[in-house]
Amino acid sequence: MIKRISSLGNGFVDYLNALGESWVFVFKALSEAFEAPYEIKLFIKQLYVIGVQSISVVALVGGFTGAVLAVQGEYTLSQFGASAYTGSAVALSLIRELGPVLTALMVNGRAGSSMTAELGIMKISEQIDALKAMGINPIHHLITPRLLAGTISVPLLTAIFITVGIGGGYLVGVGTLDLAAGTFISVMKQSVTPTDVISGLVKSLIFGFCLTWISCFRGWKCGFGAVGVNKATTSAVVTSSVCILVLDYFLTAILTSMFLN
Amino acid sequence: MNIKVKNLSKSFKTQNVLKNLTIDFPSNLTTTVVGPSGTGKSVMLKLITGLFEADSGSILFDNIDFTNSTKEVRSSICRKIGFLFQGAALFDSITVLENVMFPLIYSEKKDLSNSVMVERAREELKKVDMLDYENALPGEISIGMRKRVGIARAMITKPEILLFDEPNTGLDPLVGQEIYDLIKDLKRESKFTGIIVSHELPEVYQVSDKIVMLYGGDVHFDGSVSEFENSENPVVKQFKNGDIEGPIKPNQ
Repeated sequence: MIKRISSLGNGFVDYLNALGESWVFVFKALSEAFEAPYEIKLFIKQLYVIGVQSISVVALVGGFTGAVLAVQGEYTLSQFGASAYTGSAVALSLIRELGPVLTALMVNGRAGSSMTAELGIMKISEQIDALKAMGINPIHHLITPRLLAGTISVPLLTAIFITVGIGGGYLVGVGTLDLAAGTFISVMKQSVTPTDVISGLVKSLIFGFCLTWISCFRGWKCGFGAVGVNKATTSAVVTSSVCILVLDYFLTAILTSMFLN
Repeated sequence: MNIKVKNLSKSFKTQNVLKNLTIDFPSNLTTTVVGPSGTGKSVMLKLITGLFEADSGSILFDNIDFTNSTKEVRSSICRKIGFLFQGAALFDSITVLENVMFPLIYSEKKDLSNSVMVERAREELKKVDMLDYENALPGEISIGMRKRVGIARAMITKPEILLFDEPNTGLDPLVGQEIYDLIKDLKRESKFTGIIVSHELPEVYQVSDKIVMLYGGDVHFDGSVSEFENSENPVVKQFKNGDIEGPIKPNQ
């Protein structure tokens, strides 16, 4: 019994240690953004890897999400004779909620896991040590460009997700559900306000920052060998996904009370 | 550049890896640190380059205390060090040529143009006979080739100190001898203080001016190659002869 309590206690202490370390890690990475030499090339490379290379998958998921929303929205709203509001339902769901969350989850699965694996492999094959041995700060060189690129990429990808999603909803709504094209667009225009867009943008910025932070930190603290990389990658994807969904609730609550009330 | 390690101690959790280690690495000579696996040889190299922090003791580079120096001083000392890692530690997302250029891009001589850096990198690749592979990625070449590229990368800044962590690990005897020949060429062509960590006896004698033997975190021998060869110290004798019986116990 005492052993069990002690191991629980040790686990809790380890968790608190890791939490503290992760804050120190992200603080260092952010402060390095203001230190010369500015790694513009590496930042642009990461924008390409995290952002540009995720466009196709984000657009694909966005298009189908919009299409599903149109089908479900039209069915539910038609029960109350309000199927004309399908465009509004699609746009608001995408802008406020599904756009930021699903984009972050997709980027997490595609780019976050690869970031963790890449950093983990660099660690176990002494590439990070090689940087240090050359007098190069690996946080400045490896983490800061990724953190900035991840934070910027996710809102941009969210915008693509929402745009393609609305397009998908429009195609299905107007093309197969016989909704009037003008009505679809006009109710959408009437219902979507700048605060909806801002709240979606704020969410996606925070999601982008958190998923990059968690992915980089897990790779940085990766254990030894293939098992270490495997554990770090799995843990990064699970932690980031849970974090995105939990944060989504709190951000929705905060942003709703700030903007919509 | 002279390197002195004074009363250096390092432990990981409950395991004391190095205990009050004191070694002198004379300027422009190559010292080989030998000893059984797990005895703290690589840890000592990583302490010297600041990859690990010592629990106590000091590391002096020409009497400058590295352990208590500022970040800037440590960085500037690190830039005078070339390090060949056990697995070469090449950056696998960039080509062989870019790997060799890498230390120049971040060196203190930032005024070098790209064409000059490419030229210098090609010169170093030519010395290690890897010029034909300049556009290959590290994953596309053999471990022996990667080590040669690692040596070119370590040499490009013309370092005052060269550290070799197990330069022959994972290599067949022929490729291993090629690496030793390269180290001999480097010693002939340029002046540097070399530290080699190895357990390859007697092959490593050919590139060594001095031998230090570590066992259990302590220095058990510190002298010339001939003194090492003739040493009657039981720890040294057992290690040289590869005897099972003797004072050296596995995993200690």
